[in-house]
Amino acid sequence: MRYLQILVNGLVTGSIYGLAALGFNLIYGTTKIFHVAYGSVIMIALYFVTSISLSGTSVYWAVLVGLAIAFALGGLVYTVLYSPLERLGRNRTTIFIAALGLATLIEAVIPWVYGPQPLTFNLPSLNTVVFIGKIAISPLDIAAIVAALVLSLTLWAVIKWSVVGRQLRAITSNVELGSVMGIRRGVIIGSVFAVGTAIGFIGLTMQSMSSSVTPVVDVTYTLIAAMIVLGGGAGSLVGSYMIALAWGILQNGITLWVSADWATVIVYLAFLTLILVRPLGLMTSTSRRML
Amino acid sequence: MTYIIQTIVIYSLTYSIAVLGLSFVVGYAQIFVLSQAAIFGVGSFTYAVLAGRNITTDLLLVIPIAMVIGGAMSLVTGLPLLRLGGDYYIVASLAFQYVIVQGLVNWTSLSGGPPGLFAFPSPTILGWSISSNMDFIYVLVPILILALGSLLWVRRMPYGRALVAMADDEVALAAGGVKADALRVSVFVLAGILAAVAGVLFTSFLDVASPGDYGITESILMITMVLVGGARSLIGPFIGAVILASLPYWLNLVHWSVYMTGVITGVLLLLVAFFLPDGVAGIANSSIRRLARSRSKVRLISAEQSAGDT
Repeated sequence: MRYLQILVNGLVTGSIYGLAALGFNLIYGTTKIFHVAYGSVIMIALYFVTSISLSGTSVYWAVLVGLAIAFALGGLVYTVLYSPLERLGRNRTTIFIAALGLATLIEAVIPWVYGPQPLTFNLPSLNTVVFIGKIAISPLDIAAIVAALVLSLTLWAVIKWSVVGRQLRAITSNVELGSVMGIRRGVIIGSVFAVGTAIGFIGLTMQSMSSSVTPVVDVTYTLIAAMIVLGGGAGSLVGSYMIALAWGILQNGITLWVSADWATVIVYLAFLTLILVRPLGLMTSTSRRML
Repeated sequence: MTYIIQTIVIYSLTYSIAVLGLSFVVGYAQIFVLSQAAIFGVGSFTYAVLAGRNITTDLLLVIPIAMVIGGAMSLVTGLPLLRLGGDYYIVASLAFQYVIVQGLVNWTSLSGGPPGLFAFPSPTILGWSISSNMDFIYVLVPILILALGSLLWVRRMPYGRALVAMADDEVALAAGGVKADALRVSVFVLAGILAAVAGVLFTSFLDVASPGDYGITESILMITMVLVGGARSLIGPFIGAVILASLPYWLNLVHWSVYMTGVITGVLLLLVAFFLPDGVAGIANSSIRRLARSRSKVRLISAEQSAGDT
């Protein structure tokens, strides 16, 4: 029974990481921009949500507003930051430097405005543990598992079957030809950033609701998302989802059997080993790619 | 006032040593390393442990030991990881950075846990106790000159020329029979060794070694020093270190928020990306080049005129 509980806890953690990776993968897989400010931009929306929910607004409304903010900020970052740099003809390293600058800036401004202390959502009903058989699980945990599964499947279907998805795949494989066909790259990539950031926001909000919000939460969030995406094979939604779940289960297992302090260290070492063995990630064959 | 200036000078010199090698890695080997602060921290803790346990405080002993440890750690991680290209290496170096610092935090018996170690006997060189600020400057200046000199020498050797060539055209270099991978690893190890030396000096001066001071933020600060100064010049990282190393110190003096460091670092990185891809040293270089070009144009015109006269 203990093993089953670890498995379930791992699935919950893994689902949240899966959401983190899903948003990052959408952006990285289509644009190849290493959006290292991913978590930081999401954190702006998260802090807004936390502060208005602590001042008495219903948490559901707050999250909806936050989702809209994340969506808007995602699009804004592309329009104001990455798109001008691309037009200036800057290389990928320089674009990464800009992203790093944005992340550093946000990480300094957020604790300046909201203070460095952790903030906690007050959500007794969502965090109340219920028992299914002998497995302890909270409504928030179930929501995380469902959200990761539903959003992954939806995104996969949209990319595979919709017109927008087809245009997205077109400009990913050949920018010039795509623009000849009349696909407006700016609009599509802008929406990719918006949707990716919104998906990431859902993951980070769920993670913060069951623990707390601190101004450094973005660093690990981005890093884990990037590790999962690269470990799973950039652009492969299945690969990163599998890695995310394995990641969550491994981390919960080590936390129980070794210690929470060493759990992250061991999982990070496991990632380093994985990319040494499979430098292009778990799923690399193009036929399995979805983007 | 003199004390403040001395402290700022010490910070600038220490960080110059820490990022000098990094400029080779970023500028020539074209690898974006975000784990420099971890190796700097390893150097720091080398002094903290050796001096704190009364093993030795002699810098002539501690520095070589730190060089070996820092170099070995860079070698062990660089050898497998540097094969990975671009983004993969960036993520790997962030993961590595995290593993080192978290490992230090967890290894409480060695590092003293999150608060770290502090209050060591002051460093010595062959019995001479380095205690005042001026003493530290006397120690730092020759070390910086030594480091700068050896890097200049390296750049003029065949090895260094290969390095410069690698930045321009790796394929041509491979055709010439030079192994770019080996070059890349050796530059990376060199940067690690210098960071470890700087770490020893940093802790022997500040009298504290705390794992939290060597995190990702610090690594970003170090890479910013290189980028702001200009990655492909040796004077560049020095300029960057002078601008950025003492920033937290003087912000504290004027009672500005500690978060200003992050704001300034972030804005500088954005400015570099938009306006100064070659850093501050790049402006100087291009203006010299422009000057040279205009002079040669003058010479060309006068040559044409004299040709027309005859």
